[in-house]
Amino acid sequence: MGLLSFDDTGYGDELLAGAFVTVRLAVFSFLLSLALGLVLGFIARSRNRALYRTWRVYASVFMGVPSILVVFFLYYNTPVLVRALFGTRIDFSPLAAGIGALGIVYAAYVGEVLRGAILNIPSGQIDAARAIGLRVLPMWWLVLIPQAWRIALPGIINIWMVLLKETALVSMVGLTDLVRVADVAAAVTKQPFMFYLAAGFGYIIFSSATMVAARRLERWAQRGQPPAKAK
Amino acid sequence: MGFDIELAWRLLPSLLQGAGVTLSVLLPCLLFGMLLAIPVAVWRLSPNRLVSGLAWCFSMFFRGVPALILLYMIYNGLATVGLIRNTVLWNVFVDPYYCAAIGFTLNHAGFLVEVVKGGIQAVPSGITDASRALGLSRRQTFFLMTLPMALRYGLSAYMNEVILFAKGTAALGAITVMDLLAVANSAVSTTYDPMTPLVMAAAIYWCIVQVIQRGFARLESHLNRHLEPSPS
Repeated sequence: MGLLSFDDTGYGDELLAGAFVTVRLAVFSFLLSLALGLVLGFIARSRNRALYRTWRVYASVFMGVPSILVVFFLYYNTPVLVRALFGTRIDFSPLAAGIGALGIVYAAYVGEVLRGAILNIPSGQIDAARAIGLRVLPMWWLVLIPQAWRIALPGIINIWMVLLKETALVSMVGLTDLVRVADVAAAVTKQPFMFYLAAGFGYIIFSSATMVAARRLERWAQRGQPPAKAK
Repeated sequence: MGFDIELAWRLLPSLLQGAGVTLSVLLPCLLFGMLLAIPVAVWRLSPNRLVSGLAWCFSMFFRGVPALILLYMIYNGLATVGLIRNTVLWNVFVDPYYCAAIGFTLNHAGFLVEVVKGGIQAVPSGITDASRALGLSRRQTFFLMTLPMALRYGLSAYMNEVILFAKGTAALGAITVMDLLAVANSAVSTTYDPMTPLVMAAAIYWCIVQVIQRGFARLESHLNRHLEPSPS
């Protein structure tokens, strides 16, 4: 157990730092995917055919390709692209590639969930909002979004859970996250099980903790709704 | 910079070989994952608290731990266990292909337990009651009634799972299996072209996912053929 201690001889502090990198990667890519997904959700229900086509292509590409491939693609190509466009060299870190790629990929899933949620709102709500004289923005902000988000929440939580585990793959481009630290510690100390299990339980603890928070959020979003009929 | 068609054509054979490796891991894992998940899902629904608790732990652990960690654990971990080193099993765990197959099967089974459980629970209890009343044994009821109907109820969840899993196999390269992504990555470092090999690999993955989706769509319409209006 001394190997997990938090001093110079143990790997406890390194593991904690790795876990912090994993959390940062997960949180920032999730926020990016929410922001992009919100835009995509609006595009997806647009009547403009070109916009709808764009959404279909985006969703099909990023739902049909492994996210780690997108991470590698961004990691190799962004510096080249930036040099071609702006003529400057940039230092593109694995963390930035991971956040960008996971954000872009999971935005497609968020967009899909939001599209479904918006389509699920009864059209009477839109008619009623128009009838009482709401303009477009207040209608979205006061009537549609509060309802859509309640319907979308379980799907969004599910995306978070998948995304959290996908962050492990970003260690393949050289990010010093929880997995990489555990791998190094396992190789140095010849105690692979201890460190891989520690990393594995790190993910389990983190997803269980967010699950508890998510359940609360769901209950809060459901307030004022009639209780579901008993089976 | 840019997509090099000539290079893409030259890389195609080795990329397809990589895709073959990806599929050679994917397909057995789908089969064995399902064979493992069905009994665990049944245990999960058992009235015995100990049995259902163990099944819950199984699915909780293998769903909660990223597949990559499982692969490392089996490939780098089991090899250090002396008990395995000295037996025939050593030949299994020294080969990254078998390690990957075992790790992915467990990971996939963890997710499938929930899918199968959901499917079984969706079968109306009237159906099982009726089949018991007709004199079918418990075993017959399960294999002839519950399981085929659970397949239909769980089909779309199963498809999502298969697609996620197919894309998840891209972690194979981490334990030195030359799968599609690993072949593309090594082509990037030998040709100094950061774009073409990855775009090609992405296209092949995309095709694999499309085939899975089309296949499930056909299977679904086949399973729901009794719901369609008869052509008359």
